[in-house]
Amino acid sequence: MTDGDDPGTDVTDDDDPGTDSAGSRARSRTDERGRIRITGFDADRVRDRDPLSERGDEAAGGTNGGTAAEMDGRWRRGLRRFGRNRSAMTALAIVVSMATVSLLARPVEVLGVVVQPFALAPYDPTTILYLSVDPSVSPYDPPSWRFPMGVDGSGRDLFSRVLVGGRYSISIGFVVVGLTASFGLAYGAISGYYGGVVDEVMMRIVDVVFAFPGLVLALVVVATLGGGYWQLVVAFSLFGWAGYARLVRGEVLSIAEREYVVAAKAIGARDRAVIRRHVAPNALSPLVVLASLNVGSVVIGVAALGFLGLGMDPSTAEWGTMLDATRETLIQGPGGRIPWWATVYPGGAIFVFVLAMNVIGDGINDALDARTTGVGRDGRGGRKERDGGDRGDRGGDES
Amino acid sequence: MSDSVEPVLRVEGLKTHYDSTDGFLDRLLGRSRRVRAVDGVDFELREGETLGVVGESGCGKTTLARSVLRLIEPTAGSVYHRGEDLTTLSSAELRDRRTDLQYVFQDPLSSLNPRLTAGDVVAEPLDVHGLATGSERDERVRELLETVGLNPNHAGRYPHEFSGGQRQRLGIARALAVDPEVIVCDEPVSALDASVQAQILNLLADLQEDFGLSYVFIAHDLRVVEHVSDRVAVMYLGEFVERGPTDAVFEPPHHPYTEALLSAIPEPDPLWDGDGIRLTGTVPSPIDPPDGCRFHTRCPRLVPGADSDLPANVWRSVAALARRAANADDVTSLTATRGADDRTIRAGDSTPRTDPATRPRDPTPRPDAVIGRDPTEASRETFGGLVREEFDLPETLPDAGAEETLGEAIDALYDDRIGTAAALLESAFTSPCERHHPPEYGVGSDHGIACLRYDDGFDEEAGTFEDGSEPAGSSDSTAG
Ligand code: SF4
Repeated sequence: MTDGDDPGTDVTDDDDPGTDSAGSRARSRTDERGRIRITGFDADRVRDRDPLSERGDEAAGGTNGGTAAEMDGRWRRGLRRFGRNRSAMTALAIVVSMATVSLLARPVEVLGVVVQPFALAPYDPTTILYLSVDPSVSPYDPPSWRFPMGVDGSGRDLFSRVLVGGRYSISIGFVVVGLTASFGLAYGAISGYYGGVVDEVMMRIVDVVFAFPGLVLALVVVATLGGGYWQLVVAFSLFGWAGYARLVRGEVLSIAEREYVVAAKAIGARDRAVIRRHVAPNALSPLVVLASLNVGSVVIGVAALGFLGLGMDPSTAEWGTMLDATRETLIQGPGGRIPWWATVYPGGAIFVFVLAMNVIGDGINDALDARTTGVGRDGRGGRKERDGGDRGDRGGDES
Repeated sequence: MSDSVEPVLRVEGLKTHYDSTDGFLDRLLGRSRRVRAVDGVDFELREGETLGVVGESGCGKTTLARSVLRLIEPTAGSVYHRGEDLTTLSSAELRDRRTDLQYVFQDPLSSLNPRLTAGDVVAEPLDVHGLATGSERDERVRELLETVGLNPNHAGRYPHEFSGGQRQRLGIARALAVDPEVIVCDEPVSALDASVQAQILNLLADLQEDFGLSYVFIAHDLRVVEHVSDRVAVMYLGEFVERGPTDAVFEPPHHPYTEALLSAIPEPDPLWDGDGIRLTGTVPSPIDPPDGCRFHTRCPRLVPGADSDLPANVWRSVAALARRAANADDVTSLTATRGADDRTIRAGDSTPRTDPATRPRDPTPRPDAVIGRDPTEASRETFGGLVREEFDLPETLPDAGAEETLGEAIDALYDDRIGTAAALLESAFTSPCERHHPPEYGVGSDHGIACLRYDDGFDEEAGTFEDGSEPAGSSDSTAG
């Protein structure tokens, strides 16, 4: 076959060269015994079958696509599919614009240097309007041209506060998910990779974390450490990693058992290369899906703590905290009016953001076809559980 | 093929045991179970030859294949490649060695990363060992794909876009990429259709010719092994029970296990009556392999004890009863499954089997049979009849002493004293095979059989060992 022959015809040759070297072998006996001769098959027919497999593949690639998708193409194809998903793209646009608007709401100063000069919000979120801007403004003024979302109970511009409030809520969501997902990835990878007693101990710790409802743990932490941005980050990160750890460990375990990992070792690849090339890409996509879904959960959790008065400092422009500040007006506001704007706008902001985040997560899930990556098994189940809890929280916010 | 040449691969006393303890609690309590997957294997692989390793599934073939290449760390023993012991190499040295020693997997799909293209798969070994870069690398990839009979233009395809045979070709191309000397093929064709098997086998043969490869070829299919091998090793429960040139192994005399495997090969001959030796049951667990000869629990040629005058097959039936009694926790498992009604045991029923060798079985219950009745509720005679029926024993054994022991044992069973019965039977009916682990007896040039029947002390005529002579096999080699 090195002489350019079509190798396909070689295999049909009956005088198998491999057996010539041992010509003394009594091959004839095989015939006498009437064994099935394995040399005489018509290879042409088998070769004709190859187009079949191609066609089959096209069908598979076109419809569900993810049967056994490839690394680069997989992400690229996932991106394309995500792009075609209109609701996910809308949600992405919403999240991006909310993040941008909150960033541009007020100028940002770092060490006295203004790094972000824009100010979309007309007032500083802490400015008490009737003191410094216009004495005619009173608390709970309804929305007007000047104050599109009205004025809150302390006489601050709600519009400015909702815009700026996104900074806390949104950034906490991403910071917490970033921390927990990275830690969970490392934790799960170590646990799955080393196995044995290490795995056993590490996974029992995860079980303990899972034994408590996350929000209650966060509540305990915040109650102990006090409120504040980084305290909230700690509260949600301290126990939020467990889900990622479990997911990643399962993935690593199942991938490490795959034969192609053994095959990579057999050709002499280093452990590092094996993990980078064969284990990590397969374990990563379910992690991305779970993380994207969890951003919303964290934001809801932060808002819930804020609503319970345990989040940030009460005057902070954080969506949940803003709801808390106007809690008592929900039933009977000053003068018998109910200042609906004080709760609807921050609550709506939470609602829109979390909904958009979940739609994005679902979009990523579909785009990466998580069925083949195992998220359908672990991550999705976990999300449902969380969603149940979230809905309860959200109900409280919106009431 | 001369013996003077240093073999490419020499395996000495290779053992791979691993811990199958599962569960945290077991580990905490120190309950460990050692699986003796490979338990003392020696072989040599000479340059350019194919060594076939055959055995039922579960006998440790794959573990052996992987241990040889240290894909699983062996527990003990050595693997010499060109005079250097692989088991002592550091992992870096071993990685370099992998350019000489390669592996082809059984399941071509699961051994290919679904996210790498055919080209990536074949190029990976080149990258790992820095064998080729740039355009040279691409050229080599195309060349390799062509060598194994794949279209080089398909280098951009993913494994799932190929057929099973093509995937296996891809696996072979990957192994070939480093230009190895030895390829260990672990059931390379058993996942494929028969027609595709032929192509792959012929491809392997061509490659052997072209590149001077040596193969360790693992399979459970004797036909395939016979077709490809220069020499064959028959593996049972982690050990080689017979090894030798292919012709010699396929020509009598055989190890009883080989004989059973051979007779299990279906023949497309209409006159073939299929009346081969049937291997019953499955391979025993390698966690606690049987003492003595590991095959003795299933051996159709078990050597009877020397002090017995029973015909060999009757003796084996009694031994089977003894063995089953030792493991039973309920007498119902020792009696025939048909009903335990007195009426079913009539004079005609309980006449001794005239020809126990044919082992007639009558699994269909009699019309008047009562299924599920506790056999110990039947009379002592009925019970005895049921036990004898289950094990195809005659009404009375031709040897008075043996009959007496058997009678006592059945009495004990009737009284539900299974332990006593087992002890009684075991003391009277112990095969040398249970006590002695057979060493490998040479039966011709380069042909060894690990079976006590090939011991010098074995008397062909009597079918057992002469009184007083003991086989050379070590008597406690598997104890502990
Ligand atoms: S030693 Fe005994 S049990 Fe083992 S194969 Fe030979 S005859 Fe059978």
